[in-house]
Amino acid sequence: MNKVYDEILYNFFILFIFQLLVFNNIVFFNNYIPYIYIFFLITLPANTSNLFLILSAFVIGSIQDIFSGTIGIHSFATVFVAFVRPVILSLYTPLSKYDDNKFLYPGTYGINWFIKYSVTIIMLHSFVLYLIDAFDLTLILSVFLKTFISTLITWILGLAVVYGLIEKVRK
Amino acid sequence: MKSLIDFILRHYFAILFFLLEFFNLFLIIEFNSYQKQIFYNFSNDITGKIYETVYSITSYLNLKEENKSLLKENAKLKNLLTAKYFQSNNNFTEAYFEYIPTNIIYKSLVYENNFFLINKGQVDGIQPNTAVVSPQGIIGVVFKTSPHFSSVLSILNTKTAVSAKMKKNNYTCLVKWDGKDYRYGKIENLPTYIKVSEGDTIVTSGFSAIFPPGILIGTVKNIKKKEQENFYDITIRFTVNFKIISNAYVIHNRHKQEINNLLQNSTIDE
Repeated sequence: MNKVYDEILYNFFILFIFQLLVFNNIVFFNNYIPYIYIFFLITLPANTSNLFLILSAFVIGSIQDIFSGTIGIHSFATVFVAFVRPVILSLYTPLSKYDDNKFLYPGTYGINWFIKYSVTIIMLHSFVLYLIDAFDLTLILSVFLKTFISTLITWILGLAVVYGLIEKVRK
Repeated sequence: MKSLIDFILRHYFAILFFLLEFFNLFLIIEFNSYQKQIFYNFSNDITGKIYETVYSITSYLNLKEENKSLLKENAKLKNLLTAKYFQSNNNFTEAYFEYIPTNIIYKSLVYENNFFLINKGQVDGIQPNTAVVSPQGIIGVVFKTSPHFSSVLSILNTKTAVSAKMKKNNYTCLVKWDGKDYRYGKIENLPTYIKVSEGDTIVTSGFSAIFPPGILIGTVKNIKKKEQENFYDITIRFTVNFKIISNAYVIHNRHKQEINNLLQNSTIDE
């Protein structure tokens, strides 16, 4: 059990060091910042308790909010993602069923499964994020466009960090 | 009780989710100026529509009183018109101030910080920080505007103070409200060497670019001296009966921008 907490802490620090020091300073196409911190929620084991899930979502969202001056916006999106994550996990159950305390990395249940699962989560996160950011349903088309591009950028860069600095090191 | 606790325990995830999201929404609206503006425009419009419907029903109830005061005002205006024939070119107020008639569709009286809603907004040229008066006297200052409605900070508000003067000797003072009775206001900065008696009239001073000079505020009702201070503690009775008013004018100062610019430029940089 302690190993799980170790790994949670390690993931948290790696993702946030990169998010806050590197990616928050890189702006793609004048508009898009990769929000790789969401991979913290993505990689938590499938049997993580709901209480821990939603509270940690609130904490990581708030940290990103404080550092980017958007009080409440990221936190809203991450708490939403934490709420729907159990549903998405049950939709995408792999053939071998979920193992307890096993973190959800690209290699855990195969890359195909991971792409399906992580893209769904990132898309929901970006969509809620940009919807709250626009705060106006008449801008929905531009929200969809932003969601699409942001998902792509976040997914590629997040995957690189998770694969290179977390999964490999852990093995 | 037990079933309630059971319910909370069973659905704690959903309950926690909604609590956190409401908290986040509150933070978003409170701390992000863009979202804040959209939210307040939206809510101002919604509440405006609701109160307008209520007003269209309840306005009949006050018709009698309203008619009386309108008649009085008509008479007053006619008097002014005839007086004007004989006056020389003293049209200071006319040139400076524009009157926009409006209806009060919502008012609060019982809180410490009361406000009104009126059914004119940005479309009708109403801007924040313009004066709102009724035929009997001043009411408040426009605070926020949406396209078709505006909210008005009432003088029945512990945070507002109106620059006023005694009509008989032109000494200036500040009129405040202590948050207790909607009929009475307070003056606390009038020094005791000035002679004040009951029934004296208090009018606006015209020193703040908002209110034109000489609009009625109230009459002195009660005079006390503060202990060990050289100031009076005066209670005034507002001439406006806030319980029944439903018509008002917004007074737009055509030169407000110019006056404010000049005021700002007149402070000397060190």
